[in-house]
Amino acid sequence: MRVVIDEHNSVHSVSDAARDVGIETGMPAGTAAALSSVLQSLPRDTRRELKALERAARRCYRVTPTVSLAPPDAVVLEVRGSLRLFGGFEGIQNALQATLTPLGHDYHWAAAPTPGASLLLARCRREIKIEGRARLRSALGGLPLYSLDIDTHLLMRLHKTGIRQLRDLWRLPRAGLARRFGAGLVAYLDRIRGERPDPRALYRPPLQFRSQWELPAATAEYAMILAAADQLFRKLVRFLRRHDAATAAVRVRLFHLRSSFTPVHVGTRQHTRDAAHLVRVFDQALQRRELPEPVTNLDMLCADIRPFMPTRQDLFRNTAPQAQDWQHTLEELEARLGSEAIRHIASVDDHRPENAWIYGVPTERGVKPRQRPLWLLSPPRPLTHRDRHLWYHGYLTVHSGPERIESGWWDGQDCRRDYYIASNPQGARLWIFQDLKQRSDTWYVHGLFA
Amino acid sequence: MADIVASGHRLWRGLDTLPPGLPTGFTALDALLPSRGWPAASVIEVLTPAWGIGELRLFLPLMQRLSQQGRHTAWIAPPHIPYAPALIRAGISLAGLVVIQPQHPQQALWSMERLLHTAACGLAVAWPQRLTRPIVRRLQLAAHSGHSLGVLFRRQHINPHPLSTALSLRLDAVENGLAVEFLKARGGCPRLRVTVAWP
Repeated sequence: MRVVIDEHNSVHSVSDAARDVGIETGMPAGTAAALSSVLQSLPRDTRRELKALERAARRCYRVTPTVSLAPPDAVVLEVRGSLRLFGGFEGIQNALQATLTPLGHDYHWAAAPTPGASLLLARCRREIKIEGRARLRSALGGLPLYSLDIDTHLLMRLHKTGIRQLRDLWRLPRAGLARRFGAGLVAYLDRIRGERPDPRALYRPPLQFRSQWELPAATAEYAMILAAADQLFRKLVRFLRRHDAATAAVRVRLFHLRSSFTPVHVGTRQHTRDAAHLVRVFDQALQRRELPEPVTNLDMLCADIRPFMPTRQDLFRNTAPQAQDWQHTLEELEARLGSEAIRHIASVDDHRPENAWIYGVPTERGVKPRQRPLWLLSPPRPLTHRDRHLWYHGYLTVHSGPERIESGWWDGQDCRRDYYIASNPQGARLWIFQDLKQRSDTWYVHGLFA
Repeated sequence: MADIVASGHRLWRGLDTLPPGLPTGFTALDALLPSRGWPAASVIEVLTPAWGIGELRLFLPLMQRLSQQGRHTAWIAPPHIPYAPALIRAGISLAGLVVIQPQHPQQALWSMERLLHTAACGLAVAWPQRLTRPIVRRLQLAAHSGHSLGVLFRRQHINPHPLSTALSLRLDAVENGLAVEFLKARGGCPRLRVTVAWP
């Protein structure tokens, strides 16, 4: 039993089970919770809603090429052009049902001469078909005022003047309506009634590149596979150039005779359309893979396609190609060694030495003007005592200290330490500390001044 | 003397044939190095009795200058964590630094070769486990083509067998500095010793 709660803390949508116990949309979240003890409430996720809507739009594309999104909940289709192909309106309805049902969403439809009118009717769940603009006014007349897609403030003002249905609005003179409620409202009503054009941005399904390459014979020979991949990447780059686009992720599948396939993922840090570079990254990624069997054919899919942004080239200082060169090198290393092998380091504003750095995007924060070792030992190595002297590959001589570091009491990882700089007979300069939290004489090496 | 050199085909000045080196940041060391600095576009071997005697400090001025020039430094298979606060204090930009931690020793050397090939990489320092002459030769070629410097740190002291690098150094800790011995220096005399004092 699930409900989705929107940003105003009221129920946005309900599952069938929740509807059965009497939970309705628009209800406060608290009331819904009181109706059922096993209710699972989820926050509304508009990005996922949009994704679902786009998925529906992509499917509607099979019925008509003129598809536009009407977020948050609708898709507008121009179906007149497809009537003959599908053998009438009923054919289109059947085709839509067949293509939308697998998505698992409930939907309502309406057909009208203008997109605005269709939207109003569908959102009010009036599943009717209106033919001819002349019939629009009367067909829409019975719809409630709040079905209009205008801001709540304006809705309240219209409501106060006694308007309850669209029919009441039709009766008012245009000029007076525009003077009292703004030209925007009149323009909106005109668009609904088809007295003003209502152009909509067309939805275009995202670009995707897919191609196969059949090898002349099943082979486990590395050079053959690479040559086939090279051909596919060249095709991909030609496709990208045609669309003035670039990619950062390509999926290649190496199909085998018996077992299914070996996936090879080609990922780059920046979007590119450099075939040679993509092949190099593929080459490195392929070397990490073990092929269970000879390869019969290759299948390439590239769904991550973005507009191409050329790297800005400085006329005078030729640094841009070098930066690109560096990125490309790191990408190759990542493909071969795995992304966890390529690290950047950053400093962090924290008194505890072990928390004053992290692996991550390089940032330089909170650096103390104190002497710190170039090597950090993680975890700190315990020091031993010999003849009542500290020992680490030899007796230690203390040169300076102590530097008291006391911090972290707020997060339970508190430390209280005295740091010293010491050296051993080999000449290694060590950063050592005495742990003051422990009663006995406990010492550690925490770093090396290499 | 100059005339003889200019006229003769079989005579040349040892030092003049070397390309200018990269200043080490230590005057005493620059004066003794054949190329008046770290040999450019080549690989250096550094032998040290233990980690932590100041072997990295020897290269800090170079790292600092490279980060000002916008060239990158790669640390390959370091034995410990390069500590960010100390690097920043030394004037090294963390944005220009990458740490490579491969799972296999073989990958470390492959990474080093690949990085040395790249012109954007000014310096690649590595702590290799096992080195052979062919590998060093490959690294040498990569450094030459990418015009970058490779440094191989090795913990080895007794009976060292210097590799076929352009420069091979043996370090020893002294009071407030490092004793540097040249085991091999292309275009210069071997077995020279110099003491580098920390600033």
